[in-house]
Amino acid sequence: MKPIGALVSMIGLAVVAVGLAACSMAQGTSGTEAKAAMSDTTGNDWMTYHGNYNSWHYSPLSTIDSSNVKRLRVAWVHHPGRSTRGLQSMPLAADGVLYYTGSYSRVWALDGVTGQPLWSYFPKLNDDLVAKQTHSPYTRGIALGHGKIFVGTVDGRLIALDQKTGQPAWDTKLLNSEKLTVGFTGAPLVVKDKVIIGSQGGEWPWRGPIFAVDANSGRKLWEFFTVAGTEEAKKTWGNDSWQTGGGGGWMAGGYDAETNTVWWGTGNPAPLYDWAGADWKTAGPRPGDNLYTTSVIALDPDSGKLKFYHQELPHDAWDFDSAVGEFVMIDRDGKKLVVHPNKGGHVFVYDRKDAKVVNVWPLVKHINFVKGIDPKTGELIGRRDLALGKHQNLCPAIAGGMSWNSGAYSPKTGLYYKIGQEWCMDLEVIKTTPITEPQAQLDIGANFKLRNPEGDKAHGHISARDPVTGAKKWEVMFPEPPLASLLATGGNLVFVPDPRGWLRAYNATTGEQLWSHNNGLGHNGGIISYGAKGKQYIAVATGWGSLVGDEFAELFGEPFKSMPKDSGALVVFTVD
Amino acid sequence: MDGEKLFATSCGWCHQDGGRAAGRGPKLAGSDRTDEYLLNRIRVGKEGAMPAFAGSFSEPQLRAIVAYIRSLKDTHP
Ligand code: HEC
Repeated sequence: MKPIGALVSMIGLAVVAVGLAACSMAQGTSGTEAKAAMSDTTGNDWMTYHGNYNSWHYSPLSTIDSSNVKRLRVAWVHHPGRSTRGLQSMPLAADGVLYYTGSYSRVWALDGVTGQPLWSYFPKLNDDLVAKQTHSPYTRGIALGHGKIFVGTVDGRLIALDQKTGQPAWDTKLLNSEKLTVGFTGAPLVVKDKVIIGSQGGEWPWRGPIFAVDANSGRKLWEFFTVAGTEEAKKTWGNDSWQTGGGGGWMAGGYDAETNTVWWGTGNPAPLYDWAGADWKTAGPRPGDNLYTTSVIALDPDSGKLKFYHQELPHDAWDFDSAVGEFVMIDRDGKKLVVHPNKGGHVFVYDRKDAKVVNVWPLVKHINFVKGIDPKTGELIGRRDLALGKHQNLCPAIAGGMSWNSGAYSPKTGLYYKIGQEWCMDLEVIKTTPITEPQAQLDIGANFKLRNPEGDKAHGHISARDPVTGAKKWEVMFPEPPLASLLATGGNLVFVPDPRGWLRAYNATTGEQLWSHNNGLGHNGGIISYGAKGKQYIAVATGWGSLVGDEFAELFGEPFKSMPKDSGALVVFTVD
Repeated sequence: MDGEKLFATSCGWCHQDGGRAAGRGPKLAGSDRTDEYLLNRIRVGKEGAMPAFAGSFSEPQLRAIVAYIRSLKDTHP
């Protein structure tokens, strides 16, 4: 196969000097939780879905660097089997052991050096329910802490396993998934003595709660409804439409230990499309702003109370939710900031103390659902509300300008590496029968078809940017959008697992491609680096078939037409 | 019973252009499957690909959806 057009365009912008605190240290914390906050000083472990509380997807390990990356080779492979919709998860690593979950929430502990299984745990799931679920049965990750591994299930449970033996410590049913079809596909987050996990929601009409569970006992401590979680929010849903509002928080959020704040991104409202068009404030299936959907919310982990929030897209009418993005904690010029990408293609930069907008910048070119977003206030300028009937060339397409996988930030270069997706769609908004009770089916309200942007071809890119200003340092074009997470390392490398199956390593400063390896199957999962017995390893999840990847066969043809959607393995690399 | 509305609520997300074109799911317009086959696929789904809708729709609703699929013109290649 010809290497994919690695068109490196160097854009002549100096890297803006980034005033970085090494990392925000946890105050008054202990045990694994403190370790999670500080793991980037030791570098051997990968403690949370996003690496650590900074959410940088960065490993400070530097044994593998630009001088020896050409010698990177496969150390071992682990096949989980039954990788329905590909292996989508982010592994974790602690003290030389690698932990990960495959589809059906099956969990493994593997020796980090040899790949030898130490234990495995396959939960018994409600198969009838799994058959009904649109998103089933992938699982995107686990959490670790208090001597336990935590995993959610698509049938609405959060399970704790003993970290040493894999024996279940507790198994708590949090959601009536049988009635609502939503469950848990995202990774939990350990915060102090609690495990936080968000349910699915969005086009599955209910109220998308986020839960906190006691890490030791499994007892539910609180739940926060992303749909109408406060009286103020309830008023933003006309005609009691909050009862079926969607929302959810289906990807792991972040934690700012300094202010004791959990940051979480929320899903879109249901139905996805709104036939009221521009009259959405007073008419249609969900009149009003629809708080707290498509928002970033800041919760007090001790009480579950909302501290503050910013709704990225008031009355989201395009399925451009805020659940997708990581919360990248960056300190600059004495300001404590958090960077959060939104599915619609803009990156929001907030002040960590109150979620006030500091900047908003577009990552992708093809955006026309709004004319722009005010970088000072975050206000939408020139919304394209979609009235009943046909609409051409809405950009980005429903799959978003960005998807749920994470970018990476390197404190060495001060650059943020992120995938952008360039594609559009034609759609017809249809007035459906309003859904007034939570139900076990999708609530969409339109038919659509993905297409090339007018005057362009659908494609993707990785760019390296200043995370606060968006200034672009370099960019690599891909014929199809990569759909996996990225990894930055202390060896000044950025790893990109691509959709055709190639894992590529780039010079983090220049974007020059230094190495590639064909894993033989597309990637739509995680990638990490960890250390064991004095060596550095790179672990990547392979496997294809996410709901976004499902669109590729029709848009791009081969190799996606024939790419299996029920395979996937964990492939681990090292240099000798 | 409006098959088109039901389709746009729960099916068009995967079967593009209202079932007229392939996308996440296959094109349904012009299907050479029997009605019974279509009904059964909608009831039981296919794991990891298409959800099962038996518990979500009544038999008359399922039949209305199939009638809608049959009414589609097969225009996309
Ligand atoms: C999550 C995506 C998804 C949703 C939602 C979905 N489908 Fe499907 N559907 C598929 C896929 C994928 C297939 C192909 C399954 C296979 O045979 O591998 C399929 C197959 C079918 C088939 C069989 C086609 C054939 O000729 O084999 C029918 C009929 C069908 N779907 C109807 C529906 C209807 C009606 C709805 C809504 C009630 C619906 N689908 C919702 C993804 C979906």
